[in-house]
Amino acid sequence: MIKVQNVDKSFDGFKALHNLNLNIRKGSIYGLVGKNGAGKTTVIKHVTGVLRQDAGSITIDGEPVYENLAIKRRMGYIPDDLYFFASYNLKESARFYKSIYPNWNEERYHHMVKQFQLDEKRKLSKFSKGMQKQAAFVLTMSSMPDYLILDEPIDGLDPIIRKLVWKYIVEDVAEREMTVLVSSHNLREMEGICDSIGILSEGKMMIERDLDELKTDIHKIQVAFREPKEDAYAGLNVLHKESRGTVDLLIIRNRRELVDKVISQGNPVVFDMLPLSLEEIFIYELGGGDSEIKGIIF
Amino acid sequence: MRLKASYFSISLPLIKENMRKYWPVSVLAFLVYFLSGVFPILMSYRDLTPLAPYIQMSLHNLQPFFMGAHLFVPVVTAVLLYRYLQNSGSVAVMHSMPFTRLRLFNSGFASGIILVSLPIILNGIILLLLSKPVYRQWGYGETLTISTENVFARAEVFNWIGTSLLIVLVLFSVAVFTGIVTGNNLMHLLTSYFFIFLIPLLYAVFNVYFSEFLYGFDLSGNWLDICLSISPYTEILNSGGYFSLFEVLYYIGTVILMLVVSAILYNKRKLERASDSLTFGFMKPIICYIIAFLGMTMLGFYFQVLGEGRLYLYAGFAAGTVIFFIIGRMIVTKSARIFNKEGLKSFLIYALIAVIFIVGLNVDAVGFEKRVPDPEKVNSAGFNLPFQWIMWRSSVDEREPILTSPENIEALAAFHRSILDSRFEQAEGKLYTSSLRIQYDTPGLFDMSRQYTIDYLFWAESPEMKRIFESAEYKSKNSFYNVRADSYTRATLYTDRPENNYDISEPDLVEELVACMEKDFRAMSFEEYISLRPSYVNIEIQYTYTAEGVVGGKGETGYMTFHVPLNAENTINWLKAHGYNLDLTADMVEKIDIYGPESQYTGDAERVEVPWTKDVDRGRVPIMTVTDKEKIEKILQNYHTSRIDYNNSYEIRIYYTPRFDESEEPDYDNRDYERGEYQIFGYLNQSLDFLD
Repeated sequence: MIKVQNVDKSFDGFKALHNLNLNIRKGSIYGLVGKNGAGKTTVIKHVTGVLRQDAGSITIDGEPVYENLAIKRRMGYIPDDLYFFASYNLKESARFYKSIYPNWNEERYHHMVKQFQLDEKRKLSKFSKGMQKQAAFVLTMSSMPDYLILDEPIDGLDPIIRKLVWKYIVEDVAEREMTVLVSSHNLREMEGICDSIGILSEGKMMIERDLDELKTDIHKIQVAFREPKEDAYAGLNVLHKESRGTVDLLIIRNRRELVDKVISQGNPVVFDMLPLSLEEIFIYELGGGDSEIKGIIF
Repeated sequence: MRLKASYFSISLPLIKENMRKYWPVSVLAFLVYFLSGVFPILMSYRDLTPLAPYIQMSLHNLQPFFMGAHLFVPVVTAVLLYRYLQNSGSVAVMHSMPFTRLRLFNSGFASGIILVSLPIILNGIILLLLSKPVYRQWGYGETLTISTENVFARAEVFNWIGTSLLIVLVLFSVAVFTGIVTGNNLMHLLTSYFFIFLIPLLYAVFNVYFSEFLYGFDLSGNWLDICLSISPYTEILNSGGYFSLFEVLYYIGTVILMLVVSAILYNKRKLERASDSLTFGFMKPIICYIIAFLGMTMLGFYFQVLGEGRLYLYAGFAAGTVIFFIIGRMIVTKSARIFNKEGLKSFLIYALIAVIFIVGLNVDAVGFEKRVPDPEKVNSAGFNLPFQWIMWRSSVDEREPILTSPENIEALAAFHRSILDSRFEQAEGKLYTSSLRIQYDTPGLFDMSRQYTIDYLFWAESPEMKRIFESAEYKSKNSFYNVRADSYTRATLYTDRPENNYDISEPDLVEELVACMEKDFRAMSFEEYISLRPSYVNIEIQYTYTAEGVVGGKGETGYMTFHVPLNAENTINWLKAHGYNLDLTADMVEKIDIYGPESQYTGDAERVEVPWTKDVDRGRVPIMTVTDKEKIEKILQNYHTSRIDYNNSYEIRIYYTPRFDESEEPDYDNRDYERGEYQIFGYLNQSLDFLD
């Protein structure tokens, strides 16, 4: 389990993280989303032990991450800004990874190289950005990490490779209970893969919840009554409401059954209830004012 | 044990990878050392004698390729090894791997030590295998001199290995330190060289200030030695290829200190500052202020040459401060947006420090100028010989007159105080002046030394100097027998008259002559010692050293010269008794031209218009030509070899005919000079009334 508790971090007076909390269950995939500059990469660099927090604690299985070799040996990290040793090829890089990661799986490495069709002897600096990402993925996954930290992992990858990457991740989560923290702007893909989601804004955690729970709890509703009622939504947590003629457009955060029950009591002539997609939740949570949401969600 | 293990933890895989990545640097260094040092030796291995100076220069690390490699390799190695720190992507990846910060740092440092040391060690081993006796030679035929020092001895090779390793390791450790405190490769590289030469550079700059503002500041002395020795790179140039034991320990200590400080700073380094100029806030004002200070100095002294007076200097300081503070601030903040409140505050702090510094120098805040040590607390004292010297010893035995008796130390301190009281300022360069350096060996860490310009009369009329020069201690320490001579081999006699040049090569005769010189020196008064009257003859004694304390050992040749005063009876009588009558008498002199004081000279424009004739020299016309033998005799009894006051002295030119034996008289048709055209020069430092 990865646990980030009350973490603060400032860069020369700029507060990058503010009392941040984050919990990732063992064997789950956690999606970290947020606007540009929200602090996702900073969180990741703390979880990987690269940066030291000003306050709070970051632990993995109860042990602090910073300067912890035992944890780092079981951790794989693919940054957005890739780095390989200058003039090294994949084979040479693999040799180095093999020498520092005790769980290195040579068989998997060769299998993945073949599957991703990478030239082992070509200098990594000569690879395209997408191929470099694949190479980083091959190296990281071959080290058989128990914790996998990915910063924008599928940026620049074609759909086939993306599928392949996710396949490996999901398999390792299922088979080895690998814990994954992934940051991405591709919310549709995240929606399909993540167990939990954390939405980060200006260094603070806005929402952190299981994706299913998040999606079943928040609904986009269109409703029209024959005769408008003043207390038609009484007892519901209406997050957003606007009316277009006799039709009300609502975003409500409640259990589906409760919403159904309350609205049905008013005998609506039109009643459509749809779950919000992750993208819509993201836009709703971070989109700003009501007028902006109207244009994007409805 | 756990602590120990963690402080020295390294990652062998990482070191191995560093070797794989950066071996070309080591190979390049090896080739530079090999091709410029070992290869020429292999080429001439059968006879290395002609190569002896080159071998010596190489093994003393004075060979340019060696010094270039020493300077280039460690810094570049440090930049390459720690460049992962200077980029946000690489710094994140490296620190996410299973290494602690200390392990990353230590592994880089260990890799660097191997990379910079290996080329030296390998070349050293080759040199050790090749080493054989090689001696330097000078001259040809009969004058051929062979040094007793084997320049290619194994000890010399070991010394080269040791000094070279110390140089590269110190430079590497400094470059590692700068790598930790800087945030990008360019800054890392520049700051490394900046720090390597910072101390000697600051020393030079402070010297400029102290010389300008502090009366008596001595540019030479052991301050220079100490400052140069701070960096082994500058010390090797200063010390001629060897480090003392203290220096070796000091450089090893420097490497350890740099290692520890760098490791601590690495641990504290904020990795998110990769690609900034500097990664530690405390470094920013330091670097900025040093840049501002150097720029302020440069412009200040540049302005000073534009006009007279301190106003120009201060205007230059102000201009330099503003310009270079802005540049410095831009560099350390890596931004052109420095015109803000924080920048202004930093500028005001620097300006305040600069003003305190300049005002402090102006008012001599620390009492430097007035300080004369308490003679009772001085172990020994010494001074150089200003003005005309009467004795000289070869550099092998160049011992300054060291005074240890309380009376002489007291006299020197009193003379020092009299200099401060008079505070001589040279007035348009019209007086005969010389530089005097006084040095006291005091119980503290540093000796105290001062340097002054004094004029001749001040020196000549000093009762304290008379006391010192006539003291038994001074005579004893400057005795001709106090040169560690084993045997006297030759005496060469010469005067400023070209016809007088003789050699005495019988050791017995030379010994007799030295005995006479010693007797005259012992009887000599201060006035005779510092007299400006021409010497009767100059005697250069060549001797061989005893083994004691002489570089090169027993048999090394030494020289000493004695300008024999006209009243050195014993020496002159001995010379005359042995057929060396070198008198210049009135009957030999055809005439004496007397030229007016400097103030009466014609200008340059007039000089070139006057053609050269026998009577007119370079456009100068003598104000008087003396041919009367009685007057000539008077001039010969009174003339000096230097002017005392350029405005009140007369230059004279004495035309004479040498006193040759009839058999020796040259064929004047085939000589440059005719009878009566031999010349010597002199000065009359008095009015010409005595000729009336």
